[in-house]
Amino acid sequence: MIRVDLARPFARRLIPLVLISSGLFAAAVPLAFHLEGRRELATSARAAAGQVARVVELAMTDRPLLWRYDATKLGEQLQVAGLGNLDGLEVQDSAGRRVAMGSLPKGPAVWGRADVVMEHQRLASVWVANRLGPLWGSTGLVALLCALLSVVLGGALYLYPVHTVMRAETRIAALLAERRVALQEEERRRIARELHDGAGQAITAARLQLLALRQQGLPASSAAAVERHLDEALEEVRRSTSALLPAPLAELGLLGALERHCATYSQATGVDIALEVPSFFPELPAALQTAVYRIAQEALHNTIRHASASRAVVRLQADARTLALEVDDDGRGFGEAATCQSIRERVAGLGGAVDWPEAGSARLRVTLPLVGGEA
Amino acid sequence: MLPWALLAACAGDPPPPAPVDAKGVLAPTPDALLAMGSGAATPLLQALARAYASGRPPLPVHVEPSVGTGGGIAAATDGAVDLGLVGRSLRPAESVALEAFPLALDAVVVAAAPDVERQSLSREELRQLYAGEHGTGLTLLLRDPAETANDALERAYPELRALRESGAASARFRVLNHDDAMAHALLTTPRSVGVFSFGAIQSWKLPLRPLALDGLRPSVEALSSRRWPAVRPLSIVFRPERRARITPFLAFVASAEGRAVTRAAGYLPLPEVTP
Repeated sequence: MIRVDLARPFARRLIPLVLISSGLFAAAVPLAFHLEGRRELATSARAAAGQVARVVELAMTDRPLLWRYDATKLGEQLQVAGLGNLDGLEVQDSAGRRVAMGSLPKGPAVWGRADVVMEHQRLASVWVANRLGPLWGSTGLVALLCALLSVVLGGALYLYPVHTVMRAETRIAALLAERRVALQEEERRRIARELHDGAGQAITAARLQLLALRQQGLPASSAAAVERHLDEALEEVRRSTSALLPAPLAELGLLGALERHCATYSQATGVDIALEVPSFFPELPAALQTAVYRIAQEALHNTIRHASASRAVVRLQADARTLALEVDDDGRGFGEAATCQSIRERVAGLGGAVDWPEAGSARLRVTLPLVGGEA
Repeated sequence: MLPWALLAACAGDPPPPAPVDAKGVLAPTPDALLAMGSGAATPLLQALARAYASGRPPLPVHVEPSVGTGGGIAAATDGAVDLGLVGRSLRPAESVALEAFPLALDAVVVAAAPDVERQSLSREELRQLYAGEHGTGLTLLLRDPAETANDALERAYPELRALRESGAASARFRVLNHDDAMAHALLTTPRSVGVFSFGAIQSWKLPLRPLALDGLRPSVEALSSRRWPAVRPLSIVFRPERRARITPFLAFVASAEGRAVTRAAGYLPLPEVTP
């Protein structure tokens, strides 16, 4: 199987980005929440200060000098009038002297200020405070929630692309393997053609010339020896070309070649071999056809050789994405011997999977992807 | 950098500066004596000022609306008024800058709205009112915590203090901050009762009924005989350097005429004190 190592370097580069983006999220949202809360508190404090300033202005209009001595009760009246939720209230006259209308807040606060202006002269200033304590509490809660959410978000930001790259990595590996097998098969075909058209034709020509020489008086004993050598060489070439490129596959296609192989093998071994093929079977790439044919050959060979079976079934199934080859028999089964290694390597090279459902069983199921990717 | 800039933009206005500690005393009003303070003493001072003005004094007395005992003490301390009206004894810190002139005794009463037919309350009924129990069918109106009438009534009936404080904290009762606000509330709230000044009812001729407590009807005579249980002393406080300005008025208050005006206003004049 070809190894394509994309996911690990991608994950290494992704980690800092994920950490930075999660950290920014975890920090920015609570900060924005807090700033907006402060802005609202400041707006509310300014509005309340404006209302109190209006009340002070009315009191000053009634009693310009003595209003401040009724300020405590004025402050209590403000509470009754609905301004009692102020966290702090400070009133100072134009000289900066404190007017006892309220009290300073306990703890940090946001202040809003309004001036009491009469006839273009600032006569007093009013400060209203809204405590920050509750806002800090809710900001802490938001920060906690954002921290939890950023962990989830960071996980998703990391895992989803990494998982996608891992899937792509597997698809690329399968495509490369398929391409390698196709190239191998192409090379085998080329070598087979070269042998057939080159060495085979030369040997055939030599035989014909030998025949002509015999007719011209070459001693039969000498010609027979040469002819035997030439026949052996021609047979060697045929075996080699057959090994490189299954001849039935080229002549009959996958289904025809399997049918012929099952029939020939059944006749030769006496085992009843059935081929089950669906009514519709897709056209397969040449590399895949060769692989299926070779795997079926190997599996049947194992069945006959190791399982002592009397009946075997070769079953082909296909859907839009996968092709399944199943070889089953009634024999005693065999262990996962070294003979299965070639099947495993061939299937792995195509990105498929081999499945022996039962340990020691002769039943074999091979799944191969029809398009690039995992079966 | 940006977050801190945003933080500064959302920080609101700068906090108030430390207040100036003003030690100075205001100059007196040249053409009149100003009096201001306790709402219970205000009607009495108005009556005394009217009587005093009939003698065409060089400095008539002008009485400002009530600001409470605390406001009267603060105004007298600052020199904003010549006469501070108070409904309690001065505390040691307040006595540093001020002198006190005893004015009269005021009976603290439970005043009833005009539509209340009841003439009296027992101590138990008073407790029920403060506890928010509905046995009496009356609505209690309370004064603010700083009101001296509360102290006077609760000295006589100590069980009422905790009930008042818990009632105010739970917003069970309506709380009024001035005597005139209490008078208005009693006149406009059906079947209401509230702690009030007997002298103020008499002086202002308010259509409110001071209820008898445990069968004892409030009156100047009940004050004089010391039978009325809820009493507060009314005083005038002033800065010592203003003594020369106010002595003629204090002499009038202590005079037989002034004492008669005080009694007629519904208050018990205190034993004569030389101003």
